[in-house]
Amino acid sequence: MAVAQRVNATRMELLKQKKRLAMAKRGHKLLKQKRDELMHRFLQLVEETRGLRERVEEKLARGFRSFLLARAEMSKEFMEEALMTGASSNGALRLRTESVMSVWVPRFDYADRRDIYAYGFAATSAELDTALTLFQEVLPEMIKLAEIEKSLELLAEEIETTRRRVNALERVLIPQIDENIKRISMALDEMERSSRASLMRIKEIIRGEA
Amino acid sequence: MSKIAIVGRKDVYLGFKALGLRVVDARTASEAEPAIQELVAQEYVIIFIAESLAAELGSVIERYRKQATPAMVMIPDNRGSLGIARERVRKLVERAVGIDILSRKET
Repeated sequence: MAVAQRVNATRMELLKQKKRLAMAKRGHKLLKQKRDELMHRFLQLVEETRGLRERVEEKLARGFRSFLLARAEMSKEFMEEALMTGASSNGALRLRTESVMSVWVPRFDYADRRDIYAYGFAATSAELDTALTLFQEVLPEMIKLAEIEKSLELLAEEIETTRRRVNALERVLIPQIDENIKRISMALDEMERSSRASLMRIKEIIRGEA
Repeated sequence: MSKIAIVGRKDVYLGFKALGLRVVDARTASEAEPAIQELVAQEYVIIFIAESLAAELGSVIERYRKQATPAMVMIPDNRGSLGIARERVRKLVERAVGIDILSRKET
């Protein structure tokens, strides 16, 4: 496509190329706006994810510490059993998709479940409760993080394609059409001059004869 | 009703079982890979992956990058953050923006 295509030097073609140029310029402007808006959203999400990840990692670290302590205090089988009983009823996660500048990104709605301590208190340690409370606190944030990081991935992809399109229009297509227009108008001018010259010449000849 | 799973060492992530997540035990990347594929086939929408495994699972994670689901998220284990997840976001930013704006901000 980058190779200059041969265009007929006609007035018709000139009009066509001018129309194409107008169209390409409009597309360029729109895509540029799309790219800027995508970028804007993207950077907002980047800002959000930074704090969020820090919070999640810090809370997880605390949760794991308590959990490991709890594990040290309880027998492995007992603990697994205690946690299993809780596993039967879940917090509810619902998946929606939302369009951000025609990029479909997931939205996770998470409904918390309160009674995670579905085990007997007698045989389990307080550390386990602490750990589970921390985990329960951090889970919605983890889900949010999943949502944002996924959106970042999808938006990054779209930004890249959009930017590539903008560049293709800006650096290849539009200069090429410009070039075509220039060449056609030069050819047309040249034709006009030569026909005028021959007309003048003919006029001279006719005058000479008269 | 969408499902969430965690792939990593069971003894670390077991606590999340009480919250209704599926915990899949995997200690190595070669164990984790078929597990992840199975979870994807079972339509888990969020799959948390231990950061220590994620380093070697790049190609698996990459495969689902362009799809809206599943969302694969790296989380630290009990040894703390390895910075791989952050690095991933940084790379995305670099690709999207064309320059690395995150690390410039931090220095």
